[in-house]
Amino acid sequence: MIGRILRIELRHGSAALAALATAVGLTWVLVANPAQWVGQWGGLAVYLRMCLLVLCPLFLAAGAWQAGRDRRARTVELLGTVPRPAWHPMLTGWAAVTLGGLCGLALPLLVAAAMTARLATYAGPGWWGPLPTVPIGLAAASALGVLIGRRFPGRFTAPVAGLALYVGLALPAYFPDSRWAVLSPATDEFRSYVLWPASFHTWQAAWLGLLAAVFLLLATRRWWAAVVPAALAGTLLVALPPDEPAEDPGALALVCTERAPRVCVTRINEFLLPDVDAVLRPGLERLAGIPGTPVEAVEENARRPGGHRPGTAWFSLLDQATLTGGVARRDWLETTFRSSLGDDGCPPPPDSTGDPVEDASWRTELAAFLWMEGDPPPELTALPGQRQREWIGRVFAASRACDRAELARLALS
Amino acid sequence: MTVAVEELTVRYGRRVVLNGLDLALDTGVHGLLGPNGAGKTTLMRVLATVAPPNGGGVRLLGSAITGEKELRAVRRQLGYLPQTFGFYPRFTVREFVEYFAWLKEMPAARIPVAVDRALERVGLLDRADDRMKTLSGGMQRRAGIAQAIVNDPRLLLLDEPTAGLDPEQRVAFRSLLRELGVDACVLVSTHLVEDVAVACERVSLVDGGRLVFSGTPAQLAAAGGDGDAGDSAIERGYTAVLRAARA
Repeated sequence: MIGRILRIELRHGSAALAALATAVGLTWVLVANPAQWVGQWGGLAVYLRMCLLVLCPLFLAAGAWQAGRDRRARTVELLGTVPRPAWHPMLTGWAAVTLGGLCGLALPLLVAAAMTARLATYAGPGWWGPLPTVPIGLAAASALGVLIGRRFPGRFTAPVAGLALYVGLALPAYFPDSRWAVLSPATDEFRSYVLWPASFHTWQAAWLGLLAAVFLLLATRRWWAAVVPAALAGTLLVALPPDEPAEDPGALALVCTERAPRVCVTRINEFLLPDVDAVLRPGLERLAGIPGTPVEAVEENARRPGGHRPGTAWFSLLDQATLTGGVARRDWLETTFRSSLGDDGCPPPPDSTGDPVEDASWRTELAAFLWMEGDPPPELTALPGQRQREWIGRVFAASRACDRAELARLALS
Repeated sequence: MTVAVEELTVRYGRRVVLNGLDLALDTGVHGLLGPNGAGKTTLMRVLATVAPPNGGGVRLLGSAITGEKELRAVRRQLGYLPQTFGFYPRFTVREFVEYFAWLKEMPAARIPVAVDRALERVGLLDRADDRMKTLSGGMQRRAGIAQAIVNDPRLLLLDEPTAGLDPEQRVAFRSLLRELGVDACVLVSTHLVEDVAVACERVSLVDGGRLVFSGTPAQLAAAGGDGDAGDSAIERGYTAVLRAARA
């Protein structure tokens, strides 16, 4: 019979509303930021955890709305005359909105998974690690909603409590180094190429599961019964999980174009390689044969501290993938590539206004920049082709050496 | 006795709503009459185990409610339609009645048949799959009666059950009341004295928190005279009893 009642709640209770809200919510956050997950299984799992920032408040609001239903429907008096303990329908209602909300996530998730499957070039071990915590965290949020909704069964409780949780979950973002950030189900600490140990995910799942139990027991006014899970949760707080994420070498392995000059991306971004190659190759080919200039372009994620490679230009693919799997901002990609041609670790020149009219070194860099773009200034094109290339080589050498004086001497006008 | 109330006192703050009320009811249909504010709804709420008494004794279905176990046992055999009847608007009629059958801890195997029977008795079987919010006020009231009778209660408390029913539905409802009263104690609180005259075997009249009359509808009608206000004999009896109680 409980199955039948659950079906009724799922079809015609607040669960249907919860499903709609979470489906719209997840679709919105997936579409708003495709670069975080498109083409990467690990990215999808990680981004789903970030989405909890929006989904947890929705689940909490759904729980609060469900808990306030009897008062809105004016059935409180009638329910006060039935023999079944109040926690039975309360638990059924909670289960229904939680299941309903999770069902609402299914369709956008399936679409996202299908899009990822079409493009993904790397799965790797344990990419799904952050996923089991998702339903547990959402169940805890809806349980907290039920607790709040039963104490304050007004119409505005659900939106106000949802908003409050959103603010609460967003706070750890302002304290990224806090160890307490692990208490939150919504986290932006994860990266698609970083693996956290299973013990970390187990700890988080246990913590959130115990919280859900505490919330539900408090909602049913079983104060003493709530002590046990609360004590266990307290024990977990004393023993925070191991904070030892490790980069996934498989995810960060380089995949390069076969023909020179090489363009390389990490394996998780391999699906972007044709687009990246199309954007960066003209610049690399223009530099070919000039001594001291890069002979390859490599994705920034593969760069290691101190790993200076004179022949390499670096570029970033951060927030670059579109929903269809292409590069989102070609101009930005070109810019990061060009700016890495010189050594961007150089200290800023003293007393420089950055104005090419006043500062000869800036005029030199601007001329080299325009040459890279294929639109060199007249004073550079006035030189013979071989002289132009020698001049570019000297500019890059001075730039990498942070030699502002040499750059100023190289000024053509 | 199905219902035995002695010296029942209920206060809301400093206001005494029921003041030492005595009442005894057994199987059959009983009418509960009284002017606004007389304490009818409060009495119904006490009998429905919603409102606790401040004093006096209440025995329902032969047992005094002294603990959770007795309370649950009584509630399993209780049917209640409150004056302000609320419902879940998106539920279908069948789902609504089924939900309350579950809340009344009916055996799962019995529920589908019991729900259909209750809906048939209130004339809503053909609207069973319609959502509650699409029903007229009278039909919603009948759905409320269906949830009250779905568990075949031994004690059925109906507070203003005919509010919103059209004349044809009221006639059908009176017939249903008589049918229910064969096996159960049915207490109907109403302002419509003609419903009491036709459908009830006994009538109790409450005024100022006290029971001022208990007898048959014929006895109530006989209490009135030509000089009393009212369009029917029972209405004249009603006003006569009230006038005498307040004298």
